[in-house]
Amino acid sequence: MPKTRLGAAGATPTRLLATVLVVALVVLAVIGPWIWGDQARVPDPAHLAQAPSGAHLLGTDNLGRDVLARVLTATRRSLVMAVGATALAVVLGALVGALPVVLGRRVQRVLASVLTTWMAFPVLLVALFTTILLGPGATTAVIAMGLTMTPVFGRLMQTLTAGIESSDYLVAARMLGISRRRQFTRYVLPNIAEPVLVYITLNIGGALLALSSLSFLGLGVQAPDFDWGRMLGDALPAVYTSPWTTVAPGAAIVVAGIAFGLAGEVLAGIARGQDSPVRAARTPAPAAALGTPPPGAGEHTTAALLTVENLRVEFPTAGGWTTPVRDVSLRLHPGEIVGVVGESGSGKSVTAMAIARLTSSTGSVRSRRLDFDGTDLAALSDSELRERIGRRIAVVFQDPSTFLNPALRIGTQLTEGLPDHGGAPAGARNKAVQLLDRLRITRPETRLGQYPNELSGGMRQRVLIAMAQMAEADLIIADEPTTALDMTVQHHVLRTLHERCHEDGSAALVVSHDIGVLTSLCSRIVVMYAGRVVEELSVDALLDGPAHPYTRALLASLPTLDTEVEKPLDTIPGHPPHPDEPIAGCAYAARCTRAEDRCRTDLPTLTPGTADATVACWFPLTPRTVTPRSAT
Amino acid sequence: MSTLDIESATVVFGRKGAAVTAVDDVSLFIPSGTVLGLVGESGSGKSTLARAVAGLQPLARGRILAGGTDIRDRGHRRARAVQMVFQDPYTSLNPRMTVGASIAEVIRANDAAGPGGVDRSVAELLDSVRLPAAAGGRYPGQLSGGMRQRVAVARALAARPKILVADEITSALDASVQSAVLNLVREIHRDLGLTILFITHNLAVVRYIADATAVMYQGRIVEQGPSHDVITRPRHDYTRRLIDSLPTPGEFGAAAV
Ligand SMILES: Nc1ncnc2c1ncn2[C@@H]1O[C@H](COP(=O)(O)OP(=O)(O)OP(=O)(O)O)[C@@H](O)[C@H]1O
Ligand code: SF4
Ligand SMILES: [Mg+2]
Repeated sequence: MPKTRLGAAGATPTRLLATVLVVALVVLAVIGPWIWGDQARVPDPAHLAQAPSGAHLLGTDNLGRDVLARVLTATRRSLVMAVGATALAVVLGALVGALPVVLGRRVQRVLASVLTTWMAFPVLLVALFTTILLGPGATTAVIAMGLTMTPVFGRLMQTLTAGIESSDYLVAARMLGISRRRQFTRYVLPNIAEPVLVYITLNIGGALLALSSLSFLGLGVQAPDFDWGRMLGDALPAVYTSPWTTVAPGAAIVVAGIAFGLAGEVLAGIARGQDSPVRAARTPAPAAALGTPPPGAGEHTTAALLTVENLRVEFPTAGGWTTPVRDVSLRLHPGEIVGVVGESGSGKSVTAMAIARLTSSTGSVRSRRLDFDGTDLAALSDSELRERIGRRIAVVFQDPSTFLNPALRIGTQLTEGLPDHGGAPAGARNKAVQLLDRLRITRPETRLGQYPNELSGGMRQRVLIAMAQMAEADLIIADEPTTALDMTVQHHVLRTLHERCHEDGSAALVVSHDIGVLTSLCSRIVVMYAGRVVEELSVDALLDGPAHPYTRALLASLPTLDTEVEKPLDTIPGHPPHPDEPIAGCAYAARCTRAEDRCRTDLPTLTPGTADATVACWFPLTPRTVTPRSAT
Repeated sequence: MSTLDIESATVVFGRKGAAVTAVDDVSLFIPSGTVLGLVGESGSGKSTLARAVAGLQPLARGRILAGGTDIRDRGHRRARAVQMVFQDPYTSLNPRMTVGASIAEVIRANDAAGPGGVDRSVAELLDSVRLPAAAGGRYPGQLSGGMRQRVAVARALAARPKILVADEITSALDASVQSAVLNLVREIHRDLGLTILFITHNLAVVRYIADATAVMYQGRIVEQGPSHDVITRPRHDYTRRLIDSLPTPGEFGAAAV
């Protein structure tokens, strides 16, 4: 929640500096005029234009007034004006930019063009017009500044609300009869507040500079009132005789500008959630021991294409380290398709990414062994990896849009960087068309000329699959390759993937939460729970009845064409543990119908069960027994 | 409680030259208190039809009657007798409001509080979707996908609808959570006697949940009938393909090792 995130202010040096500066400015704005107000205003003919001394730390001006007192006193006016102008701009900006989202299409269109026209107006012209109309003065300057800043805020809020307008929750609110006022105050505003707040903070500094210039030019604050800009303007004629009178207000403007700029950057950092992980990453990764070697570890395995032993992946978070992958071992042979199944958050994707060496830089990836075709993947530098492994490992991602380059045409992305690129570009193109066609993408030739955003999510996913095939990779890592597809298309994609592996002996590691998809495609299934492999078994063994209670429960909860329609479906009550949680014993114990005391204290390790299955469970089921439904 | 009668509904997107007919002359009748399953490939117009029934998408031709009155009538719109639950529970709830507040708001907007007041009604609704009352104090971000989808169902029920449209409400969920949500839909249907239009692309799900099934293909209804008949004796070619594409263990043959 944003509150707790913002509450973390004051941790890094930048944050500390920004916080101290802004707090100091606000305190000065409140108390300044009370304490130094009189001293700042009353002329003292006895001490005209004096250089800095013990009595007047920053000297006096040409009327004998203490410069330091004047600068401190002016904090309030300068700040109030900047905040006032920004506030005006935010309110007007919200009216033109954000409010239309709840007022319907027509109002939206009209106000959008108002905004565009407004933006096109030169800033200086607006300021001049306002001054001419209202006469120079502090209020005028604030209004002028507010009006010139309005379109920027309006545009920002328009962009932010555009994302909310089509959001399901706003549509739902309309359908459920929530009034427009509440739609605006409870649904729209809170959801754009964070970026707008950042922007406001950044802009206060800018407004302060601009208002100071107006005062400096004589268009803003009028004597006898004064702000920093006015002080600077008044001091200018005497800059050679008493330069100290210009230094102080100038410095104040710069410091205040920097303070708000910094504060804005800090807020933006917090809003992006980027501050804490980087900081936490400086503390070394926890030295938890890797798991015990899996059965058959260290055996002479020239036949295996990929060997992973005791993989552990950790990420720094604000509160310490989180461990989405605690202990994963698996092995793939050429031509083999292995499935990884588990509930959301079980660490499937993190495992896949770690094998492809695509874990984000803050993460810590450790393993006893990470071996691809005789090469130790973990030992390679990034450039060595690109050179030696390059396109031999291809990855199809769960969220395809983030991994396609939005600026390049599909055709370019499919054909570029192929091993024999110079050879026959036309050949590559033909091959791309064929592949897309095989993956049931309509009008494949046209697609090559399109950009990723012009395709549907399901199409983008298939483009990634086609990329993996174009590269003729030896290992395809596919994370939920068919989730965005409907049944018939999914079927074709699975078939193409299968044919591919069958024909040219490539191996595939397929991640999915749908055990049905995996049993149709794979020869072996790896079941993950809370970052560990809890069972690994052949599809045949799976159909005979898995030994691990979790695998059984997953299988039983899936409705099939034979499910009894009269009875409620089997479910797995509760939910998986969070990767931050320390777990004693078996992670599944809280939800397991077979759990006993031992399960809650001792961690079961993978041990060979039947011929083609290994299982990590103290009380495994035997094949073809029915899961007891009552808890022990 | 309320029949749903879709008569020659047609939805057209775009204008003249580039017009696309997303829903093409669709007629469906759902008897009061029954569940109609709607299956079809992606882009066949299922969601568009759902939105039209929920009043979120104007029709180019035809009309939709809920309990005999046109959903475009003012009286009907005020009664909010049709409610919809969306596919993605991660986006259909306001992330900045506790789920309790989200539900309470709908109760107030519809004057639907029970005798015990708004708070009691919220607790009852949460209970009806098998969530503890304490869940009301949480933000959507603190709940799992399955819990959020239950909240979304509770919120739709808060408007006291007679007809519920469920658009792929389990496809963003884990298989283990999907079954719990399906059980919930079943129970609510039995307890409240709601008329439900249930959209999915999963035939096994539709067979389990729906009395009757309609198959949509390229904007048209190509086949409809009792769920059991449609699945065991499909007549249209697309329905047959749909059934063939259900994943079956080892269907591609064991991979070469
Ligand atoms: N860069 C990261 N920093 C911190 N935590 C992360 C990071 N990446 C993933 N996680 C956490 O690791 C856990 C496992 O995530 P993962 O994506 O592997 O799950 P999954 O099994 O693929 O789930 P799904 O079925 O939803 O795709 C999650 O709790 C996730 O929030
Ligand atoms: S070890 Fe115990 S708790 Fe864990 S799956 Fe086996 S029986 Fe259940
Ligand atoms: Mg994943």
